[in-house]
Amino acid sequence: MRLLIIEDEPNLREQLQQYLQQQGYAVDIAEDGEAGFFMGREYPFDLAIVDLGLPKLSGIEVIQKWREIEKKFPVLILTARGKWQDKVEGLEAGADDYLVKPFHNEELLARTRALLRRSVGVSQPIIQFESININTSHQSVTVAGTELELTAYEYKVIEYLVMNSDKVISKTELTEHIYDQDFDRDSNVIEVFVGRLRKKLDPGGKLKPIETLRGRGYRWNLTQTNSQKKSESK
Amino acid sequence: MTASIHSRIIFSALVILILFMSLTGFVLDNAFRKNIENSQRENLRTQVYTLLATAELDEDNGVSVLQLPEEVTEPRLNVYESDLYARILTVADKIVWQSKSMANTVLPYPTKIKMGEFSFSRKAQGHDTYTLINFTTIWVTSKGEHAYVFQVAENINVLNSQIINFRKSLWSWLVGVSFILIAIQTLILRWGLKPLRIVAEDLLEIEIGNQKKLTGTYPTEIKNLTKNINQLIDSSQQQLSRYRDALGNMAHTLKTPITVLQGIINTTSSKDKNTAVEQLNTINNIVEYQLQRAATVGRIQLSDAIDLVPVTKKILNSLKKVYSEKNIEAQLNTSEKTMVKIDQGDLYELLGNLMENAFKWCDKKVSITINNMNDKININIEDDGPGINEKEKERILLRGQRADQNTPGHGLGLAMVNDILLLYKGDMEITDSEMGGAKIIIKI
Repeated sequence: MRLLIIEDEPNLREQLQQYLQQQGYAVDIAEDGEAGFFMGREYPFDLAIVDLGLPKLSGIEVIQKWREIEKKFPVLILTARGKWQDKVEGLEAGADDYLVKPFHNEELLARTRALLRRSVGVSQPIIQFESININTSHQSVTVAGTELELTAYEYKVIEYLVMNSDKVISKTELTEHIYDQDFDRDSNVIEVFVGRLRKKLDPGGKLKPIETLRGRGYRWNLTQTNSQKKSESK
Repeated sequence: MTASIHSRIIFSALVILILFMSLTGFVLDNAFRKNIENSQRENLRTQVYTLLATAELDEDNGVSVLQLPEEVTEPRLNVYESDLYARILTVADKIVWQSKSMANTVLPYPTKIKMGEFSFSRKAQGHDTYTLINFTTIWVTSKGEHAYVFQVAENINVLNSQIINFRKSLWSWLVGVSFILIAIQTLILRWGLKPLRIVAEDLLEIEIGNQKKLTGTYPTEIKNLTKNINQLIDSSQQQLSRYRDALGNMAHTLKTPITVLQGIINTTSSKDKNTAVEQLNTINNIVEYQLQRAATVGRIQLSDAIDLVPVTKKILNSLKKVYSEKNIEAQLNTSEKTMVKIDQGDLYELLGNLMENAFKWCDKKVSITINNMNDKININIEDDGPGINEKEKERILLRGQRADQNTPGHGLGLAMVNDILLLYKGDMEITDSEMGGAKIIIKI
């Protein structure tokens, strides 16, 4: 999952980037409204965290402009004033949730996760596919009750595939969503990750959770068993 | 206490009028009295001349006798006990002739005798006072000179009754005119002070929020005043918005470093971490509380009336979005338009905080009802959550709690609600909803 943070205060910006990277997200940053808007327009983000008081272009304007060009990723606004009028204005402009400064990183993470799940129509943090159980809060995967040992990137791949389980995901898309823009990408690595994941998730080769569609990409092939996935995503 | 301009002017006009009318009355009274006295003297003199013309000195057996007919020309002298009397004496005080009217009247004898001169005097005799004229004249005959004193007197009652009549009509006219003048003065004053009354009424309208400025056309004399008042209103509004901006900026600049500090503290593993977190929370609560308080306390109330319904709908939609995972069934029951005189920001805070609490604590249902009740507006916010226990209700309704007693989310938001209600003289009531949870009733 790839996130964008637009925050003008350098300390907070770096702190948030570091924290969310530690939590397994690919995180890009922008320090003003204009740069932030540009990045949101150009790169495929899964969520943006936008401070309302930004130089050059205000947070509200950035969100409005994204929505005008049909950028639908969820937006979490950060506001220092905590004024209801600001919050309502932000949410009306197209934001999906707000967080009043100062906040705890854990709260930011919880809101981020909830918004990401909501955006793909998954309502609980734990997603069950027959014997495979994915806990998006703990970022852990168990198969038949046994926790798998996964690298951060392996988890990112499985999470992205699961969150977009009704779609065919190309290698490029997968790359874009698990790495931030500064990362040196190599799409062959994706094949390696998928190969390893198949072995770990389905050692017997019966479930076949990840399907390869030649020349098009991958698709998560299992149906969620603990809840009905909503047909419509945001 | 300072008297009103109206009563000051009326009082001074009254004093001046009384002084002026008294003086006028006094002068006129005096002039009239002098005039009437003079005319009385003139009359008496004429009577003397008439008697002189009537009198004849006859020689009777060598004795000169002054002869007058029994009936003289002046009828009053011929009437028994009328107000006019006449007699003629010799210088030796021997009565030569007296008018019929003299009957029982006693006149004083002349004291100083000066030939050919009229002497006037006022004499009291018993109950009556007379104006008396003495005239001594000499008849020269072949037998010698005969001096006679002519006395004519008139009872002063005649004079007094005229003066009394004059005074009666004089004072009734003066009093009547005074009343008319005072009435006219009051009307002029009311008319003259009307612009000031209008300014006062307009200021009241501003105070209760019906208008923002003094917009009427005022006379030149108070145009400067109204212009200055408008400038004052402008500058106070500007100051208010500068103040609020400054507070907002302060919040912004303070809260970002607090967020950074919080992040840093959370990543350290010092044993004092908990204390640091607590202290940081306290700082944040104090900052938040004081900022919100400063934004509402001591503010000049110059709000336009705004429609409650669209604001409520906006907040409702925002909250539905934020709490979309809870799948809340939110109901808004209201008539078309509900105007309330409140600052827009305050209205957002009031409704936002209360409605968010309902969304936060509800299970599945939230209901908002807005009613127009007489001159107040009723806002009921209900949910189907666990409700609020009695102790908590009391705590929430207790105004002016210390900052550190308020935890973010629940307490602080309601402290803000309390402050706003205090500012707009509104009321809050907490009861139990039929839906199962809490019911907050706001009257504003």
